[in-house]
Amino acid sequence: MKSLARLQFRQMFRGKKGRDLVGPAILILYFWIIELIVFIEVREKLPPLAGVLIFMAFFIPDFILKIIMERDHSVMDAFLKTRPVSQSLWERFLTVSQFWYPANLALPVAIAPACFMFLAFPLNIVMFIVVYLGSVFGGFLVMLLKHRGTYQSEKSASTKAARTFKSTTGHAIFGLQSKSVLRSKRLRGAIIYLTVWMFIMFLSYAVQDRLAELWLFYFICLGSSVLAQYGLGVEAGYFSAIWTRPVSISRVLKDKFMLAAALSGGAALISIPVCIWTGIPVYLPLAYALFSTGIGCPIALVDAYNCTPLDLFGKTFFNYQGSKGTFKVSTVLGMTVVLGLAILLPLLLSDLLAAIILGGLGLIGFAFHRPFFDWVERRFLANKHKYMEKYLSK
Amino acid sequence: MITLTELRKLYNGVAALDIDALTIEEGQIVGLVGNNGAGKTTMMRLILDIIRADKGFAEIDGIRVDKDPVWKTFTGSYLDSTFLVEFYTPEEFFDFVAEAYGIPGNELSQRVRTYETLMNGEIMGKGKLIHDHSNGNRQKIGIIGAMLINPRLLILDEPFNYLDPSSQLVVAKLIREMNRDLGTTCLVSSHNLTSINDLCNRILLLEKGKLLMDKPHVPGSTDPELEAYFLDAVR
Repeated sequence: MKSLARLQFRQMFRGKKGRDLVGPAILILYFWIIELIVFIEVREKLPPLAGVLIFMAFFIPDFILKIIMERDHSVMDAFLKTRPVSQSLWERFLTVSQFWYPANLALPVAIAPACFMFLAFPLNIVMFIVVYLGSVFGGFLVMLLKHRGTYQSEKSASTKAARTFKSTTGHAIFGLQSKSVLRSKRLRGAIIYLTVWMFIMFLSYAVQDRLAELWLFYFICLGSSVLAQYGLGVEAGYFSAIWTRPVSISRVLKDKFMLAAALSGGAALISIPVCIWTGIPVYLPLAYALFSTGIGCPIALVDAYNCTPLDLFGKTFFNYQGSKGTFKVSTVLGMTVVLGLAILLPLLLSDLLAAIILGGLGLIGFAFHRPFFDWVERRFLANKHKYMEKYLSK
Repeated sequence: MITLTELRKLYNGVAALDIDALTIEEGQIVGLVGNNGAGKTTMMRLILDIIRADKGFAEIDGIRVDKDPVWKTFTGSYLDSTFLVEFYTPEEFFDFVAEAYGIPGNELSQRVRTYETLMNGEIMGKGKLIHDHSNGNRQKIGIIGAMLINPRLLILDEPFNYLDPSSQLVVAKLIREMNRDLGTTCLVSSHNLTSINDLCNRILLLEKGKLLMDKPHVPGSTDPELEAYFLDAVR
């Protein structure tokens, strides 16, 4: 068991240099600073049990992130397979090693300062241990879900499920949207940002009521606007595969719109328990989802083909070079109006009236998205060679 | 089938392609040869409407490719890796192609089986993304993706690149069979003169964008004039 653990650590850090740790270190530092700033401000204002609920709520995004980002690590590599390591020893090692597996340490490390500052002794110690054990248990479940069998010849349960879904719905073209997000290291990274937004929203509510609603809108809007647009940068990298086949540009845009609706809708649903707990009206995230999909997404996509290819398989988490900031001035102006409306309406009017207006605008966007994307396609076709030559010159 | 009329493409003021007139008849297998920078890929991109012509136009079936996309419904092409969807597995990519062309699932399985020899058990069922396959396998996936639709027009740029000798022979055989059984018109560029000689019944030689030679060819024979041109080019 000790030899296996030693080997695991050696493999984990093999070929890694100090600079590889800078990214994660900055992320953790960022978490800690935000936590400390907010909790110093509010530690007297909230009852201790509220903190317990906050920390417990983090199990959900932690588990979802592990499901999305982790690969199967339950299979022996070629080195181990050719050594006398019994299956029972290996399974014991897999179980025990969950206690120091990095993905399972991320959550307790991230919340540690807030946990120890916000909660009183000995509740803080108990809470920290609960979060740590919960993360380990989640990691163990994810490992079981991702397990593919001894020789990795069988498909994972999730892959099988995805194949079944696709074969029954026949959405290979729609898969261009969803799979580019899920299989791209950079775009998956953006999902982490979503979780960070959620985290900030949680904490900022305690500081100022309106600020919480602003973060809520960011959280819901991000998926429909930014991810959809980055998706176009990805498509620029294989545009010939679409262009030389009878797949229309408006079809791609409409699929992107549907993905945006799913992302924003999902974000709104996730935020509902938080809203119930914090007192934000539950119709607000739903109105935000309608508005950001129906209005925000089309505005983000209106000139999005004017982009350069994004390297889908780029590994660096923080480096978005290559995408060259695909937002144009017109898009920025459009998005400013969208953000302005979403921020100002709840401030100027009541929450209910703001939700009715934003939701109504979103519904209008839903109703007209098809003719709108047909118009975007016509605009694209009028300048198609300008765009395509840019894609080729990557 | 393909007509190029006064087709010209300039890059930084230099002509990458400058062809006054060219017609490729239905059912021909046309080999496109020439040294680097001759304009082979540019010509194919213009036919596929990927880049804009500075002058003239390309037509397929008498319809300008830049005006009407109907050619996409019967044209299979593979020029480079941008014709692949690299974050898909090969199976998903073939599903994507089938969905774009309305090929039903059982028909797709049947057609994919035609290419089992070319895939050599290395492509399907591996659970690997196309991006993670070797250059040779990616080339095979691209070629199969182009041929899977049983096209009336097949355009392949350097299809023998990255392939082992056995696979090169298989690809040549598949192109020949497609041409024989379906009457597919094929436009194939290559630096491999032997393959072009074996496969094509017409050969076009390009140099610096100009059409230097356009002659019928008997598949399997060698062309002394063509070989003399390439030998002279290195002297």
